[in-house]
Amino acid sequence: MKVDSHVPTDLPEFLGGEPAVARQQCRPRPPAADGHTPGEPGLWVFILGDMSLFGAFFVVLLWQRRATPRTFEESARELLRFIGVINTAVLLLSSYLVVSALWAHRQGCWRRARISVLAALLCAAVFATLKVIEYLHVLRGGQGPTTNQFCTFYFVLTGVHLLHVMIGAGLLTAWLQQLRGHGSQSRFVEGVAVYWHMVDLLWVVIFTLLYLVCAA
Amino acid sequence: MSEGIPVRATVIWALLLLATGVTWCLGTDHRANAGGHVLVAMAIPVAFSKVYLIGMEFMEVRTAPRTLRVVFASWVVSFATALTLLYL
Repeated sequence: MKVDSHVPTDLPEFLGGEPAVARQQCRPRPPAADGHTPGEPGLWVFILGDMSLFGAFFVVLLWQRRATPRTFEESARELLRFIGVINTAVLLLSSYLVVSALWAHRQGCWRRARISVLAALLCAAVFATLKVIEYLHVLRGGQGPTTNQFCTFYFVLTGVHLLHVMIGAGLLTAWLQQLRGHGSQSRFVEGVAVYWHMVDLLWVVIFTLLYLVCAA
Repeated sequence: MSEGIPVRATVIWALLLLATGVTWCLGTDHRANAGGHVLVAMAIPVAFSKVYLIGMEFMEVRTAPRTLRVVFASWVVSFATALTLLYL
């Protein structure tokens, strides 16, 4: 007996039909109405809280620098600035790819969204690899987390940030899993995108303070 | 512009890369110059301008409710001011 494997697209989703959003063939939607909170509103409490915690660390970093500017300068000059600036460009590229992925997700362009999320994951891997290379360089140069205050700030701030990158990579992987099933939980993917952009913006400040301002 | 990517996002991304170059120029090797300290300090507001752009455009705070817009902008302005003054 021949079994027809064709899935009717006009059935509702709960009867096995294709999700309504998947039927759209990359047709642009009207822009979201003004006043839309990306992701869950509760997520923003965490995002702004996390940003403020990092902000407090930044204030303490520059406050402590005022006491021993020479020590901060000498230690900061041991960092690999070119790795810092490359990592900044890599994270900015990843943010752009996440914007592209979210846009494609909202249009129902699953393939395009998958490619963009995969490319963003690749950026995360490049960032982490370059960070490890820099850690090895700093440690081989005789500077560890307890060498002086600058080194403590450097390892704590970049280490916690790297942890955020890894969590973000995990969330991007979860997004990728949703895309394989043509999922359409826009709140979740918006939350993932917001989190990833927070990782990017925190690095922008970390790079400026640790690699440039403290070394000048 | 490549298909499927909003033009606005591409322009913002280009601006962010440009601002990274500006931050790099401001933050490197000005110590010996007259007013070099002020130039380095300027790298901080430029960096926070990038943060503002990422938040407003990429995180879509620009189209979020007013409360979120105000809180985010306040975070950027307050930390940018505090850090710049602490450095000077």
